[in-house]
Amino acid sequence: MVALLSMWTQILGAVVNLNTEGHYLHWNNSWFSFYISYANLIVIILMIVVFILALVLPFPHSKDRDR
Amino acid sequence: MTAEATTPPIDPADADQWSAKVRNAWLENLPPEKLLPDRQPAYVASWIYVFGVATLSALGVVILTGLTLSLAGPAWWHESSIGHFVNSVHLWSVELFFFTMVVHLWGKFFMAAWRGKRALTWMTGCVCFFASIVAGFTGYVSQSNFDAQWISTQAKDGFNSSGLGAFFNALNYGQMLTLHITVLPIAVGIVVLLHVLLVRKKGVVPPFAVAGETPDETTTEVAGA
Repeated sequence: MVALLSMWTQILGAVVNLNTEGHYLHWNNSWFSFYISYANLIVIILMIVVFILALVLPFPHSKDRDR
Repeated sequence: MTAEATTPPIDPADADQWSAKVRNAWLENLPPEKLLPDRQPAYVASWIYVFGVATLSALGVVILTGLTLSLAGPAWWHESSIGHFVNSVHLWSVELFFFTMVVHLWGKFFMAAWRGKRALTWMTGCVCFFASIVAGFTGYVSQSNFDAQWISTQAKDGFNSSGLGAFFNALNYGQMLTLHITVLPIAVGIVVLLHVLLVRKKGVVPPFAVAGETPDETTTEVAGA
């Protein structure tokens, strides 16, 4: 079990190396400044995507739904 | 599909006892069929209604892994493979907890879930959200590593600038750990329990009526909560 988890951890670690400095999006001009880590930005975008999917995706019904 | 609650009748001689009064008040507000219903209104059959239970499930994993970490101690979660794993599950279940709680919050906000005398349900949800954030912050400074040291020194400046430094010291590991593993989990647990009981008492908020149509909360139902 632990070996299997360790293998998956290594695979994921190879795809996304979390053991480094953070990467940040910095967008500013004379009147506006926006500063956020890509990790936080990705989580926020994922939350919005999941929220929209939860509204539009059909929910599975049991056979007796119209009873 | 309704079942009558079968409760033993109260002896008139015992009606004035506090235990009888509490039991009666509980059964009036939360009869068993309301506390653990078999069916829900048809409008609950939507993915947006899933995120409350998803948040509760994530909280369960947070508590279980947190208990394990607190019993085994920092040396275990820093040095052993299993400790690393449980530590990571604790972190990622917290991430999932906040993720699902925010989606739940958005869903309830756009449903105006405080309608129908559900203001207390909404407010307990807000308190739970803010208490969870504080629990998360105290968790960051309880890691017992350089990350925790860095965060606690930054938090200390924030506390002192706001006046909270007179009451809380983020550099005090014992104080932060105690808040994280006792005070805040108990507070969050009590508020979540109250929140869930209020949802069961008032029922799940119905969607907005379309063109004057009133959502039917009783006749069309789906199985499961």
